[in-house]
Amino acid sequence: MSRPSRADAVELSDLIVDYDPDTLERRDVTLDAVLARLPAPASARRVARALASPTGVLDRARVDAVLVRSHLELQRLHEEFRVGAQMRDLIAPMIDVARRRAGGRRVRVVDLGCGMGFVVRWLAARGGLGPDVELIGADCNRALVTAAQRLADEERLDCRFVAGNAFALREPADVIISIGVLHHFRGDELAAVFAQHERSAATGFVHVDIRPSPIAPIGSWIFHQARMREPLARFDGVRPVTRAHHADALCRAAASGAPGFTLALVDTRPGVAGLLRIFQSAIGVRGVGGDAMRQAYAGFGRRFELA
Amino acid sequence: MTVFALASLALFDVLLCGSRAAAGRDGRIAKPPYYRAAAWRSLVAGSLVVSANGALVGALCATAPDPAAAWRDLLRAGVRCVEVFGAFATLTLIAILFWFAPLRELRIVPTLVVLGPLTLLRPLVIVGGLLFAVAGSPNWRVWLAGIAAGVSMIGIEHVLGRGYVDRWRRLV
Repeated sequence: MSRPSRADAVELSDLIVDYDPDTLERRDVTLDAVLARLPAPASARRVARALASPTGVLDRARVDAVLVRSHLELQRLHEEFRVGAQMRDLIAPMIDVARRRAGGRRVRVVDLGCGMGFVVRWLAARGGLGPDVELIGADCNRALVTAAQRLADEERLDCRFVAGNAFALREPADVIISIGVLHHFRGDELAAVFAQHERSAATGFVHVDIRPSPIAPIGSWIFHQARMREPLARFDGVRPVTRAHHADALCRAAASGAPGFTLALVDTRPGVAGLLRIFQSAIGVRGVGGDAMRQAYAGFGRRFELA
Repeated sequence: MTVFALASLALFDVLLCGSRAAAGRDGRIAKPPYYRAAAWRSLVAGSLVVSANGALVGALCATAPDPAAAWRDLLRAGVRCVEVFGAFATLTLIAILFWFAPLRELRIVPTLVVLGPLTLLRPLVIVGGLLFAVAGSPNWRVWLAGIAAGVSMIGIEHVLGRGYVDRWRRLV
């Protein structure tokens, strides 16, 4: 039996929840099923065991609790790495394009796999995108969406959250965004996600994810050991750097799944600045040529490159 | 001077512990009041820790057969503590100054340098610094003061963190 590669290393949070792909109804997950797919270390297996009820099925309340706590810790990282401001800079030119096409109606930005909606809430609070921009977070996990909505309500932010598929909303997105989501899709799934963009009515997308680099695994391990209190967050936190897609894989998947979009990448080759810029972005705009896109993203200088 | 330096270093450390303990527990976007409250809470906790250690040192000196000699021994260890912890605090402070850098990328330096590796190193630095401080002393009072300082400084973050562990419950 061959050992799974590091890129195939699963995240515990992907294993402990399951949804019906059509209805998104939550399904029971058994501890045995989790342990069967979960390799070492023992600490991760301990986390999984702690979530199980005596019947061997994972307790949904415990699972939700651990996910909420882990996402709170994840939000801290996003705050410290100023992900909100980064996303604002990336979507502002895209919104200008979408605004021209929206014909006076609000431009709808939808965060795919929003979790607790930090980016959407940050954009609503500080993004300054304008009153004609509607911000929506979508996630399959109802507990995270509920937490996101409570936080948004508490701060009276002009955004909302829905439990569901970002591509199947009643009111379709003009711009689809995500943070740290793409690496969850492996193999053909990545092209399939881009194909969903192609089938949607979206004008564009901005997907930000961790950039693979030789020093990222050790840096990430140190950081998560030092900063994360939740064992699940510690375990899962270091997985994205080993699962992150390289630029060529992103380009291939986008070209095959979403050929109608002009694709560009930001920060895939940051050089020395890569020590501080740990994220890369895939940007796609429909119906806009490369030159126009380069012009729209001129502020990014050499960080921006057409795929 | 040594006493003042030690107290300042302890307060600075507890202040950072308090910020870390509060971080990652509150999901709101606007958190300055939350962090201000955390800072006040940690300053109060830090003052208590400093006072308690000060009282212990006072009691150790007062009960020593030769209080002046005991104080000298403790002060010698204190100077060594200031050397180690002062260097660590200076490094931390320099990294934190990057928070005010004009470039957004540079503001990430404290996150990468201070909040990551140095946080991981902190317990080792505390133990190592205290061992360095007391190692040469044959006086058990110096060792006891060192152990008390180490336990209180390492334990304070856990104590402060307990105030935040249930915050997530209001979100579910």
